[in-house]
Amino acid sequence: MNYFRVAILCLVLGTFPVLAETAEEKGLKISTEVEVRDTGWKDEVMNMKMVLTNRHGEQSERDVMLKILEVKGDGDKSISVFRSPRDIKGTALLSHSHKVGPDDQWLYLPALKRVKRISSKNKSGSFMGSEFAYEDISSQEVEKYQHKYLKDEVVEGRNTFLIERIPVDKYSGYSSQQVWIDAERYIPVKIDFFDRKSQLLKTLTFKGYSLYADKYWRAEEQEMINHQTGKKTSLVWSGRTFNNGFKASDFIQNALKRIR
Amino acid sequence: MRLAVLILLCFSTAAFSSINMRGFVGTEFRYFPYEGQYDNEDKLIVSPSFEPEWYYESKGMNHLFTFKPYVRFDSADTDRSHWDIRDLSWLGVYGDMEWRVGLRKVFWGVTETQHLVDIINQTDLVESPDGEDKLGQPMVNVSFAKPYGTFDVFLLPVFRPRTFPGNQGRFRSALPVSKSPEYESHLGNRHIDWAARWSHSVSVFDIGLSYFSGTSRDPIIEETPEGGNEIVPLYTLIQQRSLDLQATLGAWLLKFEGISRQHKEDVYSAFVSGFEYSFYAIKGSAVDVGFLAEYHYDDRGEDALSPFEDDVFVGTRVALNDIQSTEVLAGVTTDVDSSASFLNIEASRRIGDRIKLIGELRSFMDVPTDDILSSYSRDDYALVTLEYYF
Repeated sequence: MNYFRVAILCLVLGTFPVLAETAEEKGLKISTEVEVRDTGWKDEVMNMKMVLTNRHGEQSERDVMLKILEVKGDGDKSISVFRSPRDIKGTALLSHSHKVGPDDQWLYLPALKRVKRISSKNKSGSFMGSEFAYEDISSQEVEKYQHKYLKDEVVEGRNTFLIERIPVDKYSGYSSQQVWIDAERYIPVKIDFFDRKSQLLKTLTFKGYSLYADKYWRAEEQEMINHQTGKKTSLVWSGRTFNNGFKASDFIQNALKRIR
Repeated sequence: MRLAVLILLCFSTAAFSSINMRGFVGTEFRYFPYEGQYDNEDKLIVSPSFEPEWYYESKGMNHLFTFKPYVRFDSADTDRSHWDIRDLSWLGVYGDMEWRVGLRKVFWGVTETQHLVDIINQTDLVESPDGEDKLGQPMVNVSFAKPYGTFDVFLLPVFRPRTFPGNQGRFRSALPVSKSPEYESHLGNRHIDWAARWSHSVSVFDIGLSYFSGTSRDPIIEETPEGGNEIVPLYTLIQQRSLDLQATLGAWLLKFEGISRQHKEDVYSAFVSGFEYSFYAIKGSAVDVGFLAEYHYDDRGEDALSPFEDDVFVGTRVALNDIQSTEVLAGVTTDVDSSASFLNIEASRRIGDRIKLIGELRSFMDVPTDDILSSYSRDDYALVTLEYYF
């Protein structure tokens, strides 16, 4: 065997696969790294103030308390409790999200003391009249999209990877999303949402990232602008605590029914 | 009421500073285009109501105390001017076991137009003819949440008779209903009723199996003797087995509720079954539109004490998903045999942050004189309610 052959063999066995990493593989790798770095926080509780602004600049507010349990090997479990407006105070949504297949959702109506299983096909529907759809606020699992790396880009002085992700679920309201991932911290900086006709629909911007437990980055504000309607919704987060000792039994229908 | 005193004592020992309060005060305007068939000729009836709620949660959220009284005043019907304690209870969480003691409300079931399996609470019929409002039920309830389902056992020591409209009220019967009901049990309203339920969610299915033994919440109206001037409701002792089932398949919700009720040797069964199909975010807007249909069947046929013996409901639900949470539910229930039908439209919308505006339109059409609803045939109405939430 001469050196030339060895060189060829090395090229085939070693270098070639690296050169051949497809845009899809790179996209998946980056998205997976985002998820891996945000693993191990166990549970999280926080208050969310939702500020809705219409085309004329008129504002309306909603308050929601959110509890999330990290589930290993599947999607997270969460309970969202509406605190205001006052007429829906105590209304609560229990969600068991899944990496594959539809999420399970139950809505608790306190006036009737009724728990209603609701369709999670309503992915593209508006969450409480806001510019956020249910699928925007539900657990973001890697398996829910097909990923593709597009390019590197500098956004507000930070190096980012631009990833295109296409929802797997045919009921999604989007044809695709473009996500700018911070190349150093592996957190989303900005997301463009494209509607089913591939027109730019909304842009979500993450503002004021803080580090929790030396490991987990959380944005203090998320702003969603709807380019087609001119409406805007800001989510402002407060009172965030991790590792509260929640158990799976805190995310069942009995727990939903005792919410006030 | 010793229980009530005990719970109130617990309340008073709880730190007052951490007692939360919420509720609403509202005014309902009902307009009836026709004078009633009996002495109930008022066409515009004004009725304010008030429902405050106080609750206290312990630090670890393991204990919850609730007190929710309710009061309504009615410009026409002195019997509709009434009050109730909707909730006065303690709830304690001990791992996967939960105790709930006091006056409470419990809801079972999945369907929209009739709540067949929902049997724990008595209907506050004077509050609304739709039967959706319930009286607080005294109970001791223990619930176990296990991986193979949730088990509930209820001990119901005091029975509460149904409320009925008075002489000047709408939705009254030809003869007034006696305030002194009769009971099959010699213990009267102190017969100890009990119930058990297993409920579980497995993949797309939500399933509930229930058993109830005790005083029927539905009275039997016996033939009034010659010259009698009132109707006397009779509450019999029954055993009821029931199943409620929902399959959630994408935009389809498939629903079934069935009961088998036994009184002495007599057994009858009834069911309601149907679907709801929703179109979400119509044409890229936030608007959801759903279509509902439910079929009601009662094997007692025309002898049934319920108007739902062979009836079909079709309707639509529209949610604008706007800032004001505007919603409309409209539908028609038709008796398959007689073609008598009932139109029901309910709509609601928020005004500002604290006021809710509710509208209702109900109309009875082609009701034959021998139908169970015939005494209501001139009680079509339009309703507007404003509720202020605090």
